[in-house]
Amino acid sequence: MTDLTISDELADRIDARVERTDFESPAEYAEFVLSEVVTRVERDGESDEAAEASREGVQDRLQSLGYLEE
Amino acid sequence: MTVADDPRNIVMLTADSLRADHCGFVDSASSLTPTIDRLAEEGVSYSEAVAPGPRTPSSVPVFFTGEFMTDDPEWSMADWQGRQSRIGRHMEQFTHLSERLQRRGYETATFTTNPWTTRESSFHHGFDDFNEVSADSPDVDSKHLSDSTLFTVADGGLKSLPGDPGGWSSKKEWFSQWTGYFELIEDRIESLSEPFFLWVFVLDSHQPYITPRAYREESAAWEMYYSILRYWYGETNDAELPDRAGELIGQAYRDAVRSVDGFVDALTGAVDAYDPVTVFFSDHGEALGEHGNFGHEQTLYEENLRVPLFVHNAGATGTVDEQLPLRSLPELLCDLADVTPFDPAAHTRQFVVSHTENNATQSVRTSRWKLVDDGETARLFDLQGDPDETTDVSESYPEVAASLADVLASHDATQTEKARVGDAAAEVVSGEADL
Repeated sequence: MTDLTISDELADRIDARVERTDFESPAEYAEFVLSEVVTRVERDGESDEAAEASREGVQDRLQSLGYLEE
Repeated sequence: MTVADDPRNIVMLTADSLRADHCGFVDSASSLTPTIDRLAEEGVSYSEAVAPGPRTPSSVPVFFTGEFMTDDPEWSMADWQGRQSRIGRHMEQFTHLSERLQRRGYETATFTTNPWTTRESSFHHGFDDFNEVSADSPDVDSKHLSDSTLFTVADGGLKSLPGDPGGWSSKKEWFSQWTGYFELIEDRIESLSEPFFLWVFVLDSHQPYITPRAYREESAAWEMYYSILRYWYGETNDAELPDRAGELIGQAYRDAVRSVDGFVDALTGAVDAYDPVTVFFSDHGEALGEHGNFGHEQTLYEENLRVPLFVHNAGATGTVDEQLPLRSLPELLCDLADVTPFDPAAHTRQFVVSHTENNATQSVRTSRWKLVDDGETARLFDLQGDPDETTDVSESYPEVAASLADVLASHDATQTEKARVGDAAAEVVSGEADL
């Protein structure tokens, strides 16, 4: 683990946000926010394989396994 | 307890739709899984592992990222591409367990069979080698889907005919059997550099339970195929299954579980020389007539949420009776990758939340109680006094129901806050991209 320092003011603001949630501390909240942003930034620079058009066969596969009854 | 000097190889084996109570290490009345039971006995077994959802789309994205999927306006349950895209957006949004291991220096490879876990739903992140095993896989020829004679003959014969007689192309997934592609896994293992992380996700215990002959102890072939057709008829016509068909489906399912045990035996044998830590579990359970259901409907009963789970060869032994949410798997796997003693109870939780795919129904479970809230009513079940979850006891135990409702409210508030953060992060990143 590595310590990062934030201002008391920001810590107070995060404290207010984590109230009544499952975040156990401002540090956990800050970890979530930073991880989310960094992941998105990293993905932004990657080749976008996920943008491939869905293959027609996938629908058949989902249907045959009982996932499309809704 | 021993601590390895170097990062350990890690093998993660996931069986689709394998009920906890069909594994002997969870329910001693079952004798279907001798290898799984032996490995659980030699390692750390979890008697109350709980899935975050009752189906692959509500479970695997969660245990891969440690985060539940939030709602967004761009999908509905009636739109399979929208469902797939929603999973893809979730998998793009959060870091995968495979990425975390990759960053720790692991070479990562997977063979995955479930059609929700493909590149289109962004499961490829974090894998140096991604192998989708399916009828239309870009990675693996469809002939590896199964080595059954019927599949091979039918696939070869029907391919040569014009058109698609009997809709064969849409039924190939029924035959997904580990024996068909196992040689490919063996070949890949030999070329992996250490430390490696290998994930294999087998579909053998998923409906309709077509099982290699070697593992069929209860079902004659005609019974297995009859139960498939009867099941499929019921699925597509909403017809009630006759009792005899239900029995045959149970037989076919038990044989499928035997096949999964055979897979675990073969795979652990293939990796034995690399001395890996092995983590085995299922993504969710399966109903066999309970609550009027077969398969994995959008319900949060025990038959759907309880899963088997063990960790083998991690330098620890014993049984953990506290609840382990599958959602904790990323942290558990990172613990195994770090060169520190493995604490089997580190990620157990007093409260475990589960969702249906559309988030319309949520449950919170303790070792004794489960509150299931569908947005209109909240039912409380006493899992010790009423393990079949037949009677709502919320009026008899209002304080328990209220306490668990508070846990769900806190969970909802957390999800709402995370969704806000996600929206803000997306704007920040797209703003950067426009600069």
